[in-house]
Amino acid sequence: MSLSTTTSLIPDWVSNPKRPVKSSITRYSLLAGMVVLPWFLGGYYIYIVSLVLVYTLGTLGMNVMIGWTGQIGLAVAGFFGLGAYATSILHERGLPWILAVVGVGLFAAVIGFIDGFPAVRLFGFFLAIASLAFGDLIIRVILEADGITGGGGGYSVQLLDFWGFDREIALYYICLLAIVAFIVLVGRVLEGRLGRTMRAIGSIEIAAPSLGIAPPKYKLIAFMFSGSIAALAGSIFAQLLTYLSPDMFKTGLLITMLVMLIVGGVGSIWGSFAGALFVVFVQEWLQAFAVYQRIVFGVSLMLCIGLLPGGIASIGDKVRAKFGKRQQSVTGAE
Amino acid sequence: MIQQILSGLEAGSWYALLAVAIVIVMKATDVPNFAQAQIGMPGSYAAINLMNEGLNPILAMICGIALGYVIGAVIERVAIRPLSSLGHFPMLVMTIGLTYVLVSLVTITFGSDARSFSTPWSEGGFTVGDLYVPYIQIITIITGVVLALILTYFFRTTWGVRMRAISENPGVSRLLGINSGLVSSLAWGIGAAISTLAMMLQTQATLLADSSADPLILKAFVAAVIGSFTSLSGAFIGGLAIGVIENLTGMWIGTGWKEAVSLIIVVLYLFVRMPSLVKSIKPREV
Amino acid sequence: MTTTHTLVLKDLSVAFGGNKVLEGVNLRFESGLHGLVGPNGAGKTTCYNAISGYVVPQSGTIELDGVSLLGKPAHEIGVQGIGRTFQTPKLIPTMTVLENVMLGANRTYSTGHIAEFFGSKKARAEERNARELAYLALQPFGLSEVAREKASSVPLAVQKMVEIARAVVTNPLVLLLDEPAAGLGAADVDRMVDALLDIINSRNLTTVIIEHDLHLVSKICSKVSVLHYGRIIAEGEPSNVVKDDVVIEAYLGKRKG
Repeated sequence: MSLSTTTSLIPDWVSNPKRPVKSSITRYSLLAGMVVLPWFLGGYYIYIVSLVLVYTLGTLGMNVMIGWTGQIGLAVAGFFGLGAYATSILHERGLPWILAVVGVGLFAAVIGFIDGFPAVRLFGFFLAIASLAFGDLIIRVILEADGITGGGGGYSVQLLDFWGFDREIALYYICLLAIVAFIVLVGRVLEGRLGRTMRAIGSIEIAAPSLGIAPPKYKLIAFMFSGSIAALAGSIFAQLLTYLSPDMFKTGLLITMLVMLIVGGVGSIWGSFAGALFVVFVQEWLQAFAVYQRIVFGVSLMLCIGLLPGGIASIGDKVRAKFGKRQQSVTGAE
Repeated sequence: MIQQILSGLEAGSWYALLAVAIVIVMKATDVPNFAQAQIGMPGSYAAINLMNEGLNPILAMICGIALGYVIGAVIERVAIRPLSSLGHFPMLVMTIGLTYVLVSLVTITFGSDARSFSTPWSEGGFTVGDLYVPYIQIITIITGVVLALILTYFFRTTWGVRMRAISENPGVSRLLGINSGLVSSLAWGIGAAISTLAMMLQTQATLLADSSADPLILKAFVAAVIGSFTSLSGAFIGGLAIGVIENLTGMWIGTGWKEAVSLIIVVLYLFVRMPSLVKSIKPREV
Repeated sequence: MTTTHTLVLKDLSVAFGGNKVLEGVNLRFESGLHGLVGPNGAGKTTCYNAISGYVVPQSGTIELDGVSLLGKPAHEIGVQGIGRTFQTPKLIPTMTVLENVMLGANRTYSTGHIAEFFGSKKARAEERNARELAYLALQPFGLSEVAREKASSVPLAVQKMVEIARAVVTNPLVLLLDEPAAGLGAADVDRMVDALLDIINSRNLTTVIIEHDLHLVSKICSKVSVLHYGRIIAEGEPSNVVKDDVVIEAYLGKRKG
């Protein structure tokens, strides 16, 4: 059955899929809104939004690894720390910041490979423990290398020079650029072969080999990607916070990011943003009361797992299911 | 060096007890409970408060443990049983949320300053040659071993066998009339009681604060991993081993690396044991 | 004329611990539709698992067109040309039917993932090709209308057919189907079988089908092998095999008197 004789039977939506106009408009208006934001918001709030974007970046990586590829890697806090410290230290030593960021990102991919190596054989819960330990180990190394990193005493980040431009705004645009770039990248991957393959490993790993898919390769890709993106986020994070200490990258950060992941919605790109927004909002609102922050996070984690598995991102679907148009009916045989 | 080994066994006993609790809960309900250490905190605080009111220390501890059991059973009923169909990762995240909730409640109720859990035996010790052995150390180690023996015996009794049956094959067990709800409740209750005991021992050797549980939990999980999550003896011995290795490392290499030891242990262990872990889980899927 | 592909199992034995699941199994699958039947627990799916590389046999050989499949990693066996379906359909619930079928077309791409990122012309063309192949694979089953539905929202019958379509898209040399008709109503079974026979005949595809429904097997298979407690107890044309005493005994137990 050759393709040429039947191409006339293939509908256009198959051969030339197009994104619906409505969603394009939403995306571009959102982007435009984000670009002009600094005109409307003061310095401190721009800083907050930048923080949200940086966290979104990290959560995006977790979504690719945990949400799509189904690999429970919990070393993200370690990678954040790795990016933050390594880039800042290299920058301090004279390397141009962008080069440091890229270099550290690539290095993080290598570390991600090592982190993911057990993932090839381990899975589920054992993998979670191993990667948790791995992330902790990275931070421990940072702590011990106190000659370079300042150890427990903390480290002052050398600030980037923006030639007179407002620091907050310049950082904001860097964050915006990074997040847009990665959302586009990840979105594109999601729609294509790599995305499908990774999701196959996440949902139906057992069937993957029968389709010629070798899970190890893609699991490692997921780990490397998520490690890199977390390191990248960490690099920017360092510039935002201007002061680093190993405590900032311990389990506390990991749990915070898990809240973003779960509450936002596992496996959803927009969920990454929603989750980050939620967390930063809670942190700001309950700034003085760390305890109450923890209760809110703890409860929201438990509630989301129990009642709203898809997180905030799934609310849209649920609403649409109740009030939106009926699903197309299936032909004949039921 | 014997001093270090003894300290190691002491710390190891805490890890071992917590690890055993983790395995019990895992075996009976298939939930990796990241809050296993934190779950022991309310009972410990309650015991201190009772002692401050003048209650006999042993009685206070027993009350605390009983409270721990109740808390475990309540949590099981409310948060765990309704979600029994979810996989490991969601439940792990759920229990992570639980740690935050538990610790926050403790902080709000009792404040975050550290207090000492002093019992007649928590101060002082005896000397053997060069060695100074705190009473609490010996008591902890012995308690650990005794509890391990009690549990071994327990799992041979009816309820223990039911618990094992449920974890091996929930469907068939239910058909045989085993009440899985009761078994879950029992497992979580016992697990929480053990955790409370472990926390009480630990805080007697150190201090009780709302952050007491945090450093313990990961090491307890590492020990449980060494027992492949299914073997109580493996978890117990693993916990002791971690304690000892930690202390010896601290003595020979440096205190910084002491904390890293458990992490390195688990990573290496999983690397080495990978193939056999895989084999035990795969075939029945398709 | 497309060549026939042959899958041969010789003296295959598989054991899990002390439990012998397959003992000295000899099977030869050539062109057309072969039935593999037998009571529950006879070892049928284990056969498939051994062929696909999920399970390592204790002894025996598995050869596809004379090339041994033993010891090869499972994904390589998929690439070599063994396509299969599973007792419960393994589809990705959040992806559409079309996207699920496209998974089978991974091998048709020659561009790598890097080219895919940058959206090179060739990569886009290959993606379009995959979409079209997937769409065409759905047509024999009459599933074109549901191509855009999420896999989680279509009924079991559709899911099973989608899984078959996906396996067919991988362009297999041999197709292994695991109880495709189980749990399906008569109308769906007819639809599935019609499409299946259409595909098999047009490609001269060697196909094996595990089934419980002996009537169905008699109707559509040219040859049937019966597996019981890990051994082949009968083989041949369906009409003869179903009358075989040994087979009847295996399914129904010893006749009285």
